[in-house]
Amino acid sequence: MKYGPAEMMVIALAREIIKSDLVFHGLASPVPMTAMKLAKALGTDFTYINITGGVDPDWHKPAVVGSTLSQNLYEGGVANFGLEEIFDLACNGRVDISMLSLVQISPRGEINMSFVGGDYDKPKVRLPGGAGSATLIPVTKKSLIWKTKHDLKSFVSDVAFCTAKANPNNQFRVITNLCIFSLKDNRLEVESIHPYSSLEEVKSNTGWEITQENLPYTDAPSELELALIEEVDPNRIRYIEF
Amino acid sequence: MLSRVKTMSEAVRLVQDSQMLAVGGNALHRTPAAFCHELAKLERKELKGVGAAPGYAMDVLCASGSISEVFFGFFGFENEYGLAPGMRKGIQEGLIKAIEGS
Repeated sequence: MKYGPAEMMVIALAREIIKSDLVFHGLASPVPMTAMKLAKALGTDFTYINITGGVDPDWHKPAVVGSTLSQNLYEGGVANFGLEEIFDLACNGRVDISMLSLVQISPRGEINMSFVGGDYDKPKVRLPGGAGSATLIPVTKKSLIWKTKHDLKSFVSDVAFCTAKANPNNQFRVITNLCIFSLKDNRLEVESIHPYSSLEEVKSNTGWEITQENLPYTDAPSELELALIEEVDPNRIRYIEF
Repeated sequence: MLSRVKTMSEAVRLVQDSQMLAVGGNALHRTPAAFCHELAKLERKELKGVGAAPGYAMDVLCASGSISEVFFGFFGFENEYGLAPGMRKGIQEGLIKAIEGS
């Protein structure tokens, strides 16, 4: 079965979820939404919480719009658990995984979602803001940062502004269309490269020096994983991010 | 008996210059769009807008020049609808002060 970056990223995120995890994503998150549904379809017994307040919504119903504030993430759920309660839960150290994104990231796991160019009061380009990132990243056991466009604009040696920062005591992974990074000794290191990419491609799209060699490839998607993605996302909402 | 039912054009007149206004909903979902359309017509000044993830409704007030300061965690329309143009223009021109929180 054919696959591309969308499927590889959804699968890489879904593989991070294990039994009894409590996992959160927010708005503007079609790829994490598909990953949550894939993990459910694969039979992983975990709890799915999201910004709509729906807990474990019925994943059999495919999404029809890209927004992850839609009723598709609420209907058929087992409980209503609001965003303010999710933040309380996270600050009590009980959220296992948060899936968040970035506009810029540095090798130290600093994320910029606020602005580029100019200064804070009069930026050249004002960005939407980090939403829950600054609160959730420091307290979540494992932060999964996804970015569908791995390039020199986003993977920079220094960010223009630090909206949120990795907690070196917790797990922090960055999953892109090319590879997976993991924070080790306060520095992002390449953990694996997706089968269709290469170390050269990762290096030429990353704004800091990568000195690692002989890196493994990410396990290619299985036929089952690919078939189940089509089942949970037949409208291919995941492609909106690409 | 006192009736609290008002038309939209009467209701928006409760909002005065310089007041702080919390706007519910997130991005394009459940935002009080009709209220903000009506309020924008009054051309109120120096309003302070507050929201968790403001989107369309608050952006109308930014575009109409009613807002001088906005408190938010995320301000945008999500995915293919992109960034909020009224908010961006206002902040980039230094006319709106951004208070970003989490």
